[in-house]
Amino acid sequence: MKALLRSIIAIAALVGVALTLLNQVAAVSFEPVGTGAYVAGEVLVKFKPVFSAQDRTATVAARGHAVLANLNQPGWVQVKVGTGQTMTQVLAAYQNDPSVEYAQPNYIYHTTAVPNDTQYGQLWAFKNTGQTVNNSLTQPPSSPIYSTNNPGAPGNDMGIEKSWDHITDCSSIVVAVVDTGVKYDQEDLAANMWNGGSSFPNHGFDFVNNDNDPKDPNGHGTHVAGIIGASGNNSLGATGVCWKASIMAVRVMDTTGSGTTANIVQGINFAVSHGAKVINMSLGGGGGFDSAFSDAITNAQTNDVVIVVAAGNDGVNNDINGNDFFPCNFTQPNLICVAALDQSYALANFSNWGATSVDVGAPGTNILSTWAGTNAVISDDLTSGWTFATTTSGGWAFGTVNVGGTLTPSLLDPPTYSSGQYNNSTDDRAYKAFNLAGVNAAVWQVSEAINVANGDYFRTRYSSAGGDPFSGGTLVSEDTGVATFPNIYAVEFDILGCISASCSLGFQLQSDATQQSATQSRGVAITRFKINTLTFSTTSYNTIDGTSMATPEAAGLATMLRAYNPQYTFADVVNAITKGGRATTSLAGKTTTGKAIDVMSSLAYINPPTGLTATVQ
Amino acid sequence: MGYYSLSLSLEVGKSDVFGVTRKPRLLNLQYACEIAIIINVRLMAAAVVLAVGLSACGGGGGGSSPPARSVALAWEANHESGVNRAGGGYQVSISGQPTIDVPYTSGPAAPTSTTVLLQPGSYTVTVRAYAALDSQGGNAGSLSAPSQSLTVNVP
Repeated sequence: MKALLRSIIAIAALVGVALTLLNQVAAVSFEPVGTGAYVAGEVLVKFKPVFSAQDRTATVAARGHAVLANLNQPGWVQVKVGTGQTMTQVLAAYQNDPSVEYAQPNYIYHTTAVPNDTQYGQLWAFKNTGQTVNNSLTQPPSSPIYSTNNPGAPGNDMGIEKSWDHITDCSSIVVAVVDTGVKYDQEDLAANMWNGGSSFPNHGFDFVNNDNDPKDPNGHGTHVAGIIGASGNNSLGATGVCWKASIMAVRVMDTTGSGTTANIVQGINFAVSHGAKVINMSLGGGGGFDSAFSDAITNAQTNDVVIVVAAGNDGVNNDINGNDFFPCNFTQPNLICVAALDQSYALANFSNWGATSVDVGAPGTNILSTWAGTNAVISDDLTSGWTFATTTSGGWAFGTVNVGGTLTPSLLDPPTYSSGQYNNSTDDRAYKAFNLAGVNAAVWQVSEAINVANGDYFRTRYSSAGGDPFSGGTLVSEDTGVATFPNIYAVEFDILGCISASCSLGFQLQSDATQQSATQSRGVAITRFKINTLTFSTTSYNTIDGTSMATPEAAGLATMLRAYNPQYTFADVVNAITKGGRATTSLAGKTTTGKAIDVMSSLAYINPPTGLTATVQ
Repeated sequence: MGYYSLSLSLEVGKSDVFGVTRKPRLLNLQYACEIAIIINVRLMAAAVVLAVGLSACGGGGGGSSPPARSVALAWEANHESGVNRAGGGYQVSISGQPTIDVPYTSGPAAPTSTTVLLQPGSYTVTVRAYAALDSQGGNAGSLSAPSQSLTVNVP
């Protein structure tokens, strides 16, 4: 019987071995069991109390594993496992061991990352606690604040804090800010600018002035850059979506915030050819399909570059013929167009939308970010201090114009504007000097109504030397054959060259000898005059609104996604943003996705596998 | 799950045949030794003669059951880092069969292929990718949508 017993045991052992192999296989759950982030090659095992440390070590060793530590918790052992087995297999083996109570992965935990930046509490886009965003914390105080839904509903934010447990450093991905330039030495940006080497020591290129100094004389591009990548957790100011970044400054828009197709196209191509993988373009305009612009975006697509663009700030539907807004309305698959949401995730009242043209929404009101310096405004009430000169009679004079029902002080030529006519063969000039000493940028803003016949001229000029700018000054604008009357238009000019202690700004109405009809020669009315100045500072921040501000929230996310997933293509990024977003009522039917961007959801998004094949052997 | 054992009860001089046959299942090929174990025990006096036969899945069945065929499945690698690290991998779904797990084990990427044994018939196959990270920043895991489905006809 002993022989029989041994044989039975032998049979049992043999069968047992064979089936154990199967059972290990069978024990593999087909769910991603224990898919938490855990230490690879390690498990924690809790042995039953009767087993001594020596027993535990022997049991572990019998499996080819090793005890790393006996934890100071009864029965728990940290085990180093061998190679060639999945976590699921290892856990199943221990859990089937009669000496073991429990086995689990050695999970990895993180601190909850909240940056210590001093104005983080104002960044509702990142953490909406229902805080009231105010403008008293920025220098200079920004105005006006967007009052609707301020404060908003808590929880309406980008869901970014949890993502910072997983990634804050996006510096492996170059993100280009194609804009008004970037104040690259701003305290919260300096550490996060692109290293352009000796060719581009100022972190980019300026296509407005065609040099390699893309410093921002406007502030817009600096604000955009900060939203993407203001240094995080540095005890200063704001933080960006990415705490560390590689921001390429590409200046294509001038001091007034305007740019041309030629400059924008060159800017995009520069960014692409110098390694940018994400491009932010918080800019746009109507005017019809722009082939050169479209070709540049296609070039970016060919080079696997994601381009994130703004929906526009006209409060209209971009899908309606005539409202086309480019680049938003371009259809390349590497393009993401972004609308602006307020603090309750309502569509901002200025934001464009479009069920076929706009993809997602993102926070775009009361957004605090880095700024290029200190703004100031020099206003003139057009009632005194002007020098008038004429070669005939009359010429320029102080007067008033009915602007929206209000009699508004204005400069008029002729003084009888708008019922009279200006003189033939006249040269009428009006000018005044302003002190712009110490400022770094200046934009001259004028509101004007013009009715000047063809062959007669209305000109604006400046002179940094003071005096009559029409004697040796610089021509700013020249109009002939223009009849805006009775409409008043606002225009603005970059007067960088006039910055001095005595910047003289002037208007000229010059006519020929030809007698014009009364309706063609009513003259000119200047109804508003001011100079916006910017004095550079490395410590400035500002709170402003716009789809321009929503766009870099998404561009920052695109950058983060590429940094987190280095193999991501532009298509992967677009999918992760558009499909990983958060369904938002205000965007339903107004965007292609009906979603607001959600950083954590996009970070966890997984594209469906492709290219499945089967071969029957 | 665990060890299987048999207890045999025979009378002296008698013989019998015990069959231990596991229900066929789909497995990754590296584990796919579906085993039918036939144990012939003849007790003669005090001696035991054992014959243990192991036969591969699908083999040696009745004459009316055509053999299972090996089917190699492959797909493109996902670009998500989470799929290609510990806690990531793929799930292969085949109609009428249990889901197959193809987890990341080591190296730069999770495996992008597996081989299965299938009886003759038509099957719909899809693949999903998974990773540890969930949309709340935790470890509950995320699963992709299925790939485009593929119809596989096993003759």
